[in-house]
Amino acid sequence: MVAIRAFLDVERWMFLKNLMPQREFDITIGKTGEVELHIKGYKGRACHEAVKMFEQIVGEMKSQRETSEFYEPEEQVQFNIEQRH
Amino acid sequence: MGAVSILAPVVIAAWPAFSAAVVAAAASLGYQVASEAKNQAAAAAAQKQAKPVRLEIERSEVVTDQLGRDQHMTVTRSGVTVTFSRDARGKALLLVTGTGQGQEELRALGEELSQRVVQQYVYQKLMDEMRKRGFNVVEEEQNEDRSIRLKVRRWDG
Repeated sequence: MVAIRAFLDVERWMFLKNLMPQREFDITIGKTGEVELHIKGYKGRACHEAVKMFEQIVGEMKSQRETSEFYEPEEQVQFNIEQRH
Repeated sequence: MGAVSILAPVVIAAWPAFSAAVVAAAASLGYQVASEAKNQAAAAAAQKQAKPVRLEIERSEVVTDQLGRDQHMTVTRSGVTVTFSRDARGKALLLVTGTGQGQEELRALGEELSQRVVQQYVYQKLMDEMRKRGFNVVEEEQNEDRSIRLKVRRWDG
């Protein structure tokens, strides 16, 4: 019974993990205050919005390089609903 | 990874946030904050010194209250006195004085401290703003080159 409950918890966690993407920032504040920002988990427009947020917090953008993830399609959640009579 | 960006800091702060960054930066470099009475005396003495080194923090704006009180903070270390204040335009200023140090040495000490103030300001602001936005700091470390590395994470619903 305990094993089944643990299994269901893991299943539920995996399901939520797929619905809730992980957003991560790797931030290095240099000794002069300059910030190097690595953005993970954001694609396309969402990535631009994340960068804008940091511009508001830190200051002026000096340079930017998009990585392969930037060009991946943005997340879409699809639900298949089957109706039975 | 989505992108790698480099951002130049802009310091726009009310006096309390700016002075908190000064206190943190000064402590990390072994300076001690002078008492309020000594603050005023040191600020006056620094103005009268023959050649205090005057530096300003680029891209800074220190916002003061409507009364426009004369706000300043003085820190000292081994005969070197650094007084922080704001000029009429709101820029953050440092006056560096010392006994026995040349102008170049005082300038280098002032620049080291002002850079540390900016770093501490950015660190404090990032920590506050990331927490406000629901991010957790999962890693934090100080590198050998004195840079600070943070990793923050959030699960989006």
